[in-house]
Amino acid sequence: MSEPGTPPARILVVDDQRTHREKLVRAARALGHDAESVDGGASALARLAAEPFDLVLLDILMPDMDGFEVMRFMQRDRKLADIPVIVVSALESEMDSVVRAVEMGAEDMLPKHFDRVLLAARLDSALERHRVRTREREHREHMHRLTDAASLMQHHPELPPGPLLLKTCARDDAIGRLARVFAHMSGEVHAREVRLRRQLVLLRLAGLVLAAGAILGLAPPLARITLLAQPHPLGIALWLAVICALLCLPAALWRHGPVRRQAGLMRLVATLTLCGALAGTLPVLWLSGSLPAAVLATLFPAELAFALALSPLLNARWPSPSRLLAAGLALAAVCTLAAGLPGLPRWSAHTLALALVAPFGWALCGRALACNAARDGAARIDALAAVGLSALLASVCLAPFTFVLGEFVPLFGAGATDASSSSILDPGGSAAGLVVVLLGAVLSAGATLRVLLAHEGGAEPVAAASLVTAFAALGWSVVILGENVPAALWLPLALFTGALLVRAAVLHRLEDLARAGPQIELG
Amino acid sequence: MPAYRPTTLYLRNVLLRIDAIDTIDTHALDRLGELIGGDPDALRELVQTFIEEADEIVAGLRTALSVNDLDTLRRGAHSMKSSAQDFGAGELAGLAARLESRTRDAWPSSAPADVEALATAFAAARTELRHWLADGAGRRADR
Repeated sequence: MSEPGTPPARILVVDDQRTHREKLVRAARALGHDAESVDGGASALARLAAEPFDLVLLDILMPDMDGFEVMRFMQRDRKLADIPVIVVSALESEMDSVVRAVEMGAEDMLPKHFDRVLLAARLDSALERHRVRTREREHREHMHRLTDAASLMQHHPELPPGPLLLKTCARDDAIGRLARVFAHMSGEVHAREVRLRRQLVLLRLAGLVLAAGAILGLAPPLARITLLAQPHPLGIALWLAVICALLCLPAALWRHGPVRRQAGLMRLVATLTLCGALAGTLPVLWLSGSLPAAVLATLFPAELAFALALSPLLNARWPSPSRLLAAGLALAAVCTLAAGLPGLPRWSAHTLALALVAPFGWALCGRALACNAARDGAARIDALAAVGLSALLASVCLAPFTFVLGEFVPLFGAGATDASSSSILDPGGSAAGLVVVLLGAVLSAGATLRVLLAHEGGAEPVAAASLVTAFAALGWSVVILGENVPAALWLPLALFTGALLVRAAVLHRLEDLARAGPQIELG
Repeated sequence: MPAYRPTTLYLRNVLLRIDAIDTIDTHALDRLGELIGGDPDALRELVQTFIEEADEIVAGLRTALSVNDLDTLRRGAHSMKSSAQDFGAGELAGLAARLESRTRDAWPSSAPADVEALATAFAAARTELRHWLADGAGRRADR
């Protein structure tokens, strides 16, 4: 039986002589250890690689691969270097070999002719030294982990230190207790930090949504003023595209330098041109002449419905219940608008379809921008440059149609004036030109803010901005144009708001669940 | 083993002991038995292993002698020395140690005589160990 206080160890006996091997194995077993043997260096290394051993009793003089070679291999292998080796040797004839083996890192030596007491003493002392070393090393490793966790908490309070300390916390000693206390405290600090950061992000997102909405809300009344003064939607759209290109391209150049040719750049530019600059602008301009700005703007939040529907459609995935509910509410809002409630205009089918093209285009743009924002830093395309390029491309596309159809209007100077205009501004002269420039600036700023929103929060905050845009447009229409807001408009707006709230609440809860990291119990 | 009458058996054993008085130190076997945990069967197996392995070593020494293989000669002598000591074969161990030391540097002229002496000593030790195996009163007879 092993001596009291010494737990049994797994011992590998390496000796080419069968008699010695058996003697050593039986003697070690008689001391309570779990011993097995191999007859050479190569098989010893194979056995050591296959299973964990606590100690090796190694003969030095062996044919093929001797004990020195076995020790060299063990030293080179990180997993084996720590296993204590006791060399077994005939003292009187092998003194030099023993000295060499000890110099190579052998823990001790055992003469070939030994008795039970000597074997027990050598094994126990080697195993005990090894245990002490292992304990010290573990102790050091756990202290390192604790200091690493402390410095992590100091420099990156947003990262949870808990996972680093899981093993240390499981220890049943002073370090374990210290680690548990530290993990608990650092967990609280981390949670507070995460809450703060999330609030900051939410505040920033909310600020961006409000800013984008408020600025883009100016667009419907400005478009109405312009279109009442100059009933040439193509001509106005051309000017808007030119102004947007002139504003966004230099801004992109100033912020990020010349536009780099990147994979996916042309695709993004084409999407933004087709869905944003053309499909997103032309219908609004066309309808601005005939519809009150407040009514037109109420259709904008339909973008939310399209954004909610697009993702499951494009990913060919069944939508989640919250998404379905939110999309349903948004759709109901569109239906109430289309139904022609008292006080609202009777839509013809093609007018309604045309009015819905713009929010659909914006939803596609928002998705394209969010997909770009989700890429890695190097692969991400400079979205502001893409917006500028798309405006440039749109102006190139629009120019021939504008001139061929005689829709071109000069921006300043004696433009065509419409005597029947009911604009509150002077419809002629430079005032109309200024309004177009202002509208171009508003659209550029709105586009930039939507790019920022897509980077910060993805496609849905971009769509949420359209709801704010609608409310802002109502306000601006009342303030600038003196329009009356029909009471019936509040129903679809309320439904849109409901859709947004349903979606936001569910997102918020999911985020909470995802952030709940591993919990550490205080012992 | 032939069926001896008890008296004959006793006399035979006494005579064998006298004959092998310097060949095997049975105290060494007792110490070996204690070392491996005191199980007599285990000790008998170990003795059997030694006899078989030492037989191979002596055969190896003779071959080495015939082909002038100094390395095998030295290694064989080394192995025999340490084992023989464990099993109480003092004379055999001494002869093996002498052969080992003589073969350390160069081929010794006394090699054939040394190997033969060693083989003779082993034969005596083997006989004695076999008797020891057969002689276990109340123990299982050797195969």
